Amino acid sequence: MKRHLTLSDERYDIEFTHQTDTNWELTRDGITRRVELLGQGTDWILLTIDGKRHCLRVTVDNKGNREVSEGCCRFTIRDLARDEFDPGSPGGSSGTVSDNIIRTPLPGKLLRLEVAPGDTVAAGATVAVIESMKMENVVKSPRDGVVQSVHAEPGTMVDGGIPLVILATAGEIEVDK
Amino acid sequence: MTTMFQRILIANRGEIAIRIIHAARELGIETVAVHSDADRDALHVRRADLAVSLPGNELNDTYLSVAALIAAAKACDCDALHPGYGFLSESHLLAEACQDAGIIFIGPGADAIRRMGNKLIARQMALELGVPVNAGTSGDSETLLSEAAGLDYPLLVKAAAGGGGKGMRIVACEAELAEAVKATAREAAAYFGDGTVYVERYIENPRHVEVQVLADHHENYLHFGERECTIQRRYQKIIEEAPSPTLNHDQRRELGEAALKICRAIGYRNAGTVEFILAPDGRFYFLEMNTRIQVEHPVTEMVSGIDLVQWQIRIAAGEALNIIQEDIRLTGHAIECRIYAENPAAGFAPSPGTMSLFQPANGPGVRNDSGYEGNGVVQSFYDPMIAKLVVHGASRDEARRRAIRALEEYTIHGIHSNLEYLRELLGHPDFMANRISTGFCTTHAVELEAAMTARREEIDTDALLAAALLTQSTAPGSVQNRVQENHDVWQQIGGWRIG
Repeated sequence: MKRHLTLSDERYDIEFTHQTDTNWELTRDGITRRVELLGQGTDWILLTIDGKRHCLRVTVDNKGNREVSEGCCRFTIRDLARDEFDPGSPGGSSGTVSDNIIRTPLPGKLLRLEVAPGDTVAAGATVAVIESMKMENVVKSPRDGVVQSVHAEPGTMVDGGIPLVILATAGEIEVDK
Repeated sequence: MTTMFQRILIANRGEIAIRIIHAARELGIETVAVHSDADRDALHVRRADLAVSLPGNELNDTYLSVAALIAAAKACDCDALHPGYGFLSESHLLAEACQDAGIIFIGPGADAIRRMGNKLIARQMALELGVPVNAGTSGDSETLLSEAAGLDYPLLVKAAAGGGGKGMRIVACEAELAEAVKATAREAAAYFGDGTVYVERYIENPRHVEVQVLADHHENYLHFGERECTIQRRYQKIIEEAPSPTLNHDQRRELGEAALKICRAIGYRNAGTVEFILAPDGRFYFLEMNTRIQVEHPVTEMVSGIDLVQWQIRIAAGEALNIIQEDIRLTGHAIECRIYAENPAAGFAPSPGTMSLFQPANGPGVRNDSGYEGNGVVQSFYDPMIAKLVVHGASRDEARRRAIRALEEYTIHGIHSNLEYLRELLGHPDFMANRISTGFCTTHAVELEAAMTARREEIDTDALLAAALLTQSTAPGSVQNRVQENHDVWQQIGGWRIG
C-alpha cells in the first residue's frame, strides 16, 4: 500500500505492505526493509527494522499527527492521506460525503481487510473483520462501489469511528494502487 | 524549645511549590497552595492540603499580589509562608506584610532582603568587609563618570536594583559610557523602580560560582560548599554543578569564609546564596547575594545529604542547626539540567502548550523536580522551565554520563523542549574537560546545533515511519491498544473473581 507522509517537513512516499500478522515490508527510495512488530502499548511501540530493535514512544496530537521519539530525539509525522478524509482536520475535504467513508464500528483488532484499492464491492459485502471482546465483528459496505483506498493495517489495533475503507465517489474513479 | 508550624502557605507555583510540599509533608505540616485561573489544574494545587484561588491571570493580581497572598494565608489560618524563589521571594514588602499579619516568613528578615536586594549596597558592604570586589564606581551619580575614568575598558553598567542578568550594558570605550549610563538608568527606573546605576570592570569569559549558606536564629552560620553555574544562555542558567570542578582547596575555603563573613555582618537568617565571578586568572569577586532558596539547590543537597528546604522551615520555626561546619562533607558530584519548554531549532523560542506525554527518567542517582506528572499544560504566562533533572555520581564524569543516560530516557511530547540541546552540551568535549565560561553557549552555538542535527540524522527514518503507520488512531490520547492490553492481562492472570 502506498503511503505519503511528511517527517520534519520532508515528504516521504513509501510502500508499506502487510506480510503476516506482525510483519510488513517498507520500501523507500527503492530499498525494501523488513518491519516486525514486537509489541505495542498506549504510548510506545517496539519493533525491529531488518532485525535491529527500536523502542519508540508515540503519541497522537489533536490533528492526527504522530509524535515519535527515540531516545530524546522527537519527530512529527503527518500522513498526507489523512487530510482527504478526516473531516475534523484543517485540511479536511468538506465535500466528503459520509457515504464514501466506511468507518470502524468499534475499537478492536483489525483481523482482515477483505478488499483492496480498485476492487468492486456490492452493498452489504464484507470489507473487513474486527475482533473485539473476543468476538468477530464484520464491517460491511453500505452501497455498491469501487474501493478507492484503505486506511488501516491488518493485524493492528484500531479505534472506533475511524475511516477504514473509502469508496470512490460514484462517477469519479481515482484509485490509489 | 520550638513549636513546629501547623500550616504553611506556599506563595509560589510549579516545581518549587511541589518541593516545599515534599519538605512540609515530611515534617508533618499542612500546606496551602495558591493558584491563578490558568493554574487551576496544576499539580501543586491538588498535592497541597488546601488550595486558594487567586482570581485572574495577571501576575500582579495573583502570585505577585502581597495582599492576596496574605489574605489567603489568613483565611486558611497559616502560621507561616514560604515564598519559594523568583516572584516575591526577595520582596521586603512581603516579608514585612507577613510580620504585620503575625505570619512567619520562611526566609531572612526584611532588612537583610532590602539591603542585599540593592546590588550597590551589597557591593559596598563586601568592600568594607575586605571581601574581594571587582573594580568599579561607588554609585554616586555625580562622580560616576570621573570615577569610571580610572577603570580599564570594557566596562559594565549595572542597575543597583537589577538582577538575574537584567539591567546591564557592556561599554566598549569611553565614548559610549555616558549614553550607556543614561540608557541603563532609564530602563532601571522603568523596570525596577530605581534608576541608580554603577559601573564595574567587565570580566570576559568568567565562571559563575556561588556558595550556599544556612543561618539559624541562634547565631550559627554554615556554608555547604559552592556550586558552579557557568553554563548559561542569555543570563539564564542551564546547567549547574556541585562542587565546582574548577576551584582548588584554598579557593573553596576562601569563598566559603567570604560568604559567611557577609552573612555574619548583616545578621543573615535562613537560606541564602552568595554569588561570585571567577576570572580566568583565578581571582574571584563578589557579585551579589540572593536572599532565598535557589533553583539549583538540589545539587548541593545531593552532594551534602542536607535537606535545605526542610532546614529553611525548621530554622524559621526557631530550631537550632545541629551540625557544625567541620561535619559538612561533600561527596561525589552532582549536575543539574534545567529542562525548558523552548525550541532550540527556532532560536530557543518558548514553546508553551499541552504536553501529551511527560515522562522523566529515573534510576540510581537520578532526581526529578518538576511541576508535572504524566502530562499537563505548560502555561505561557510563566517562565518556561518545566523541570530539573539532577544526577549524582561518584565523580564528575560519572555524573555527566548518568545525566546523558537520563536525558536519553526522558520523554516529552506535545511541546518542544531543550532535551536534545542539553544532551549535546553534556557530550561536548569542552564541557567534559571543564573548558567552559559563561559564553559557552554562544561560542559553541554552531557546534551544538550541528551535533543535534547529526544525532537526529543517525535515527533510522524507517523505524520512525513504521512506528507512525502502525499507530492507528485519529483521536488524541486514544485508548488504542488498551483493549489489547486488557486481553493480555486477563490471559496472564487467568480468570478470577473478587470475593
